[in-house]
Amino acid sequence: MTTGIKRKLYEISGRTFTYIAISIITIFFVFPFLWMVSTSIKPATEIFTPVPTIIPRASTVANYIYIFAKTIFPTTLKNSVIVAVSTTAVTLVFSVFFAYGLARFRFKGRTFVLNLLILTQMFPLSLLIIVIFTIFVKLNLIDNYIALIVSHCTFAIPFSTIMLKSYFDDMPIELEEAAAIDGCTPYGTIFRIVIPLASPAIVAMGIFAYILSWGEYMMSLSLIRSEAMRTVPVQLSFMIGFMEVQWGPLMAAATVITLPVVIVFIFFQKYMISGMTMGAVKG
Amino acid sequence: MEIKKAVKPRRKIIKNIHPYILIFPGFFLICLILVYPLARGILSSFFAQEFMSLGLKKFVGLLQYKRLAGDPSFWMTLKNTAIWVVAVVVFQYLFGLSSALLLNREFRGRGVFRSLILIPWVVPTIAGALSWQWIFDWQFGVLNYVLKTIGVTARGFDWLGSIDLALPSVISVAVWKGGPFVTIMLLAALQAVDRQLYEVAELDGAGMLSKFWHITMPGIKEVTITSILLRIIWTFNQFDIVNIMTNGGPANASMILPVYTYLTAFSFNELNYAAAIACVGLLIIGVVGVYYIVRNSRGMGVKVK
Repeated sequence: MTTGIKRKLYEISGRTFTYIAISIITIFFVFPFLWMVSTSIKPATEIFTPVPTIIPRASTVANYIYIFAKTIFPTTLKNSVIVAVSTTAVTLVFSVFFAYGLARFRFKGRTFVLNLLILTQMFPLSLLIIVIFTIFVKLNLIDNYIALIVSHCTFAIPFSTIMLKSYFDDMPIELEEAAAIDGCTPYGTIFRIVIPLASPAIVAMGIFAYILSWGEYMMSLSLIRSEAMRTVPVQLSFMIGFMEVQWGPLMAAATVITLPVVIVFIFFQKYMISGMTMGAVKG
Repeated sequence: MEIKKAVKPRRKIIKNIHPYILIFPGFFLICLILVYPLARGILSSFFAQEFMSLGLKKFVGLLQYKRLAGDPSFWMTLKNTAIWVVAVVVFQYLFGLSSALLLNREFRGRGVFRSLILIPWVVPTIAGALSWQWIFDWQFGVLNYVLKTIGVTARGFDWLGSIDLALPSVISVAVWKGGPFVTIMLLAALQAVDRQLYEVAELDGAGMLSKFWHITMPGIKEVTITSILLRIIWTFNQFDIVNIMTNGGPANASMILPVYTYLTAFSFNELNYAAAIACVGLLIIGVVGVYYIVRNSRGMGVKVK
């Protein structure tokens, strides 16, 4: 009887501890995001006050109207969408082919290529950018979408290829064999059989490539010179450089580029997480 | 390969070309944008600077490196980078481990907490950095407001503008941005630990701590090592947060290697010297990278960015 009560008390206190501890950690991780959204819907008078409020007393969309109507933000948003969508498309096509080649064929140099893919993810971008910049100057592609798309793709391809390859490795080969016997080329097999079967992994890698390109900063900062060609992350970093920071419009712009990816992530997180941790549970 | 068996011999040569055709587009891009620039970058650190370009005409041996050795800003940067990497990775791991352990318990709303904790991982770095900059604001920032209210300080701290606080401030932002990655990795590892081990240990009368040390930690050892290695590499190369928030200032107090490299190259136009700076970094992080690859090829690693 008493041991029963003791156990119950123990359970309740354990659960309370769990909730308190997880809440503290969660606040640390979520607060900057909440604060950004909250500031973006506050009027200037409420932003610059000695006593801040989390939930705005008077909410307004004035900051959003301001950035869309009075600044270059819509243009940079368009640039970001063009670059990120193209990056996603090219990355998916290239890495599905790449991963399929690595997963289903044994050829000379295969191990070398696989190790290279892992190794490239450790290359220091600050060294690469010096040379990449000079390459694009020579190709006359500074201030051009192509420079951004090509470089963003190259950063996304190694990771998504490795992930897709391990997905293909786990896929049954029988259907593809049957297709080969029926005279289907590897390329036909990819489009008719592999892509439909691997669609969860492909969707996850597509989101990954989009997020990477959408937030990419260093390349976009270096390879773009004119204001009209900037992507949102770079434009935002310039907005803060000048004398007085307009936190309201700035947080509104930050919210516009953050909210879509957060929503998509929450919606697809199952795929994303299983994609990321695929190898983790194998051992 | 089974596919090859199904093919008639005379078409074999064409078939053998297929893997190369499949990997070519991606491989070509990687060589052009990653491998060639790395090789060219290393090479140009041994050449003399030319006006506004990456000189490759006059070989000067280790001259750039000699200059580097006598550059006090460089040594300062190296020290900051060491503090930055160690602090960021340690705190990310502590946050990641504690949140993963909590999320591995069974309680209502677990999925919601998990989703919320993962948010920083997808928030664009610029948006996160700006939001933190606003929180850190000396005059109207919410952090100083809280500290003033509870009586820690009367005037508020100049988080990003003071020599003592700039580095710790950017470190906390990096912990925030990368911590969730460790959470996901460790949570996946925790969920793979055999539950029966705990039951057996309980029958033997093992306490919480001894279960943690003898079952949990060994169970997640591989993933722990992998994610720490990956975090070290990532943090060492991280450029955005510091560039956006302090740009290495004030007085180089928060200067780290990638930012120093970038400024040397693009603000001072000394591309070859910048290449030498980055090569020192490459040498340091190369050790970690090689160790990671060796582990991976032994099949111990986890193939994740």
